[in-house]
Amino acid sequence: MIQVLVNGVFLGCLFAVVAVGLTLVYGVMEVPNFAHAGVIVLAAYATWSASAAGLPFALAALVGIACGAAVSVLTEVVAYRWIIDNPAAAPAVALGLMLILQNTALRLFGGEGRSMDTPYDQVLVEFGGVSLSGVKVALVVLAVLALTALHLILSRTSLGRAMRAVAQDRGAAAMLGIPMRRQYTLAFLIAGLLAGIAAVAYAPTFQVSPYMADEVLLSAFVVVVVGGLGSVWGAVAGGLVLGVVEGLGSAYLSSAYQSAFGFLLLVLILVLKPGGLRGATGRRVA
Amino acid sequence: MRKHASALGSSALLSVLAYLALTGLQGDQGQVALLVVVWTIALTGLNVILGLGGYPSMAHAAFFGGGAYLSAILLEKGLSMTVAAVVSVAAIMLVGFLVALVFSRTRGQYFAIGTMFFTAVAFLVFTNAAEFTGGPTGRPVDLGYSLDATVVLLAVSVGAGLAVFHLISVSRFGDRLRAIREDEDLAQHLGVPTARVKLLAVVVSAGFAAWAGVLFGQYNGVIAPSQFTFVQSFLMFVALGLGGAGRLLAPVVGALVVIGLTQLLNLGPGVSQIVLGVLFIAVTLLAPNGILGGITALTRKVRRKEAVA
Repeated sequence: MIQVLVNGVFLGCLFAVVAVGLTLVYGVMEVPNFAHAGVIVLAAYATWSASAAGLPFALAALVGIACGAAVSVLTEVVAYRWIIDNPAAAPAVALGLMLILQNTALRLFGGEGRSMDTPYDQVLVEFGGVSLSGVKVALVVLAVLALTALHLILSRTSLGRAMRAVAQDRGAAAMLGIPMRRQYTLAFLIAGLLAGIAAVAYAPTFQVSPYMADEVLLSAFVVVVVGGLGSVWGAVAGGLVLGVVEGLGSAYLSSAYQSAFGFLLLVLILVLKPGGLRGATGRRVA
Repeated sequence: MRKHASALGSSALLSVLAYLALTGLQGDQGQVALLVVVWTIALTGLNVILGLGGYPSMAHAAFFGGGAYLSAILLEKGLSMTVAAVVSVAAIMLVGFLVALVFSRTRGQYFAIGTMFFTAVAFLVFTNAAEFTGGPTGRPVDLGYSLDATVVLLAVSVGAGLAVFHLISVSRFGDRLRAIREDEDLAQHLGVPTARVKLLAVVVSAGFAAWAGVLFGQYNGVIAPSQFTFVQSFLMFVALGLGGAGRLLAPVVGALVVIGLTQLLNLGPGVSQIVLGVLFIAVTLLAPNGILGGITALTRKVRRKEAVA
């Protein structure tokens, strides 16, 4: 039972890191960033290529994270920047970008999955009768570190204050002289870094392939919906809840239908909150 | 009256064209013709909820696949083709009703995410319920109608579907959907029963998709889960957006562009979808009403210039 819960927490950390990236971008720009999946895929491939080229794993991981950040910022500069005044076009542009990024990966690296080796592959951490592979421990540690860092940035620095201001009211923030363009780019930069961390952390447990992020992205979107679009702590809490639900479902009912349990949770929440989720869109970033 | 005549006339003309394409083209080109025709039928349904209602439904590939799988299973159980087809379409419309019941509470991007997740779950079912669906590699579909009959049905369905869409579009139902697309709160305030209208729109779109799926299974002979992923839902959304959502002929244009790009141009794996992504973003930024909307705006501009000169 505890083992199952721990596995659920592992999944939850993964969902939370991806979901926070989505919700940050949504908070400042109101874009449902489907292209996030493509960013994760490219970051994972960058790590894989760098480590195949002989770089030590830690360096390769940094290459991957940097690549995620670069690609994410690129999507903002090339596409999203031009639709700020037309939010209705956002889903379409996001879908277009996702097609482009995923198929770029398919074109460059082929469709077959590749396994990523890490120095902590063989490590098995045992703690109070619960065993967890080194890869999963690394993911949980990375997730906690990344989210804590993000929280500190958002709550303690002037940069974070500006970002929260933009998320609360774009018009007022612009009037007060906050440079909007920089905030947009910054949100995508942070989202890209988080995508890179997610990719490096979970690619070793799955395979690196152009479609590796599809299911994670879907679950992360559910997390965002459950936690409220634009709310970072909602995303963290939602991620843990969803991870535990999917972990329990796949352990006790059927592992083939793992993500279906997340869907059931979503349906349940929608049915139990008959007013819809409008209440959750009080747009906040922290 | 003239508006009806041109819409219904072009629907009938497209039926004839579809028949000629399906009977005239062989091999790979025949396969492309089939896909364009089937997509046109399915996208006409999507055009009701997405085009008129403005709701980005990502459940369309699931309804499409559901129709194909269900009719194949019922046919295998010994039902006659007509019964199997009617039961499948009705059952998928019921599923659509349930999906709409849950997700029509959500709006815009929430709706897209929820319905997309539904398609992902449907894909899991298609893949894992192997005793019915044949698992990841798919299953054969027994021949229910003769191939000639299927071709005639496909061709007739194109025209009939477009005609039904036109009638919906000019009806009060269509007006109400457009009101929801423009401003849902205002529409509700003015007395539009928004919940009921959205529900009906999803059910109608599911019916179109399921019927397209039934015919696709019949003509193709095999169906596999990979044909009904949520990426297919994306591509359907993309196709309708490219054509010009809400316009009568958008499904035809969208199907031609998307299927043509992915199937006809042999650009190697992935490249056609990259081109599609670039094209979609370009159309969204430059011609928000799609290719058809862009053409209309362009001709209007040219005419105005002529009038000035």
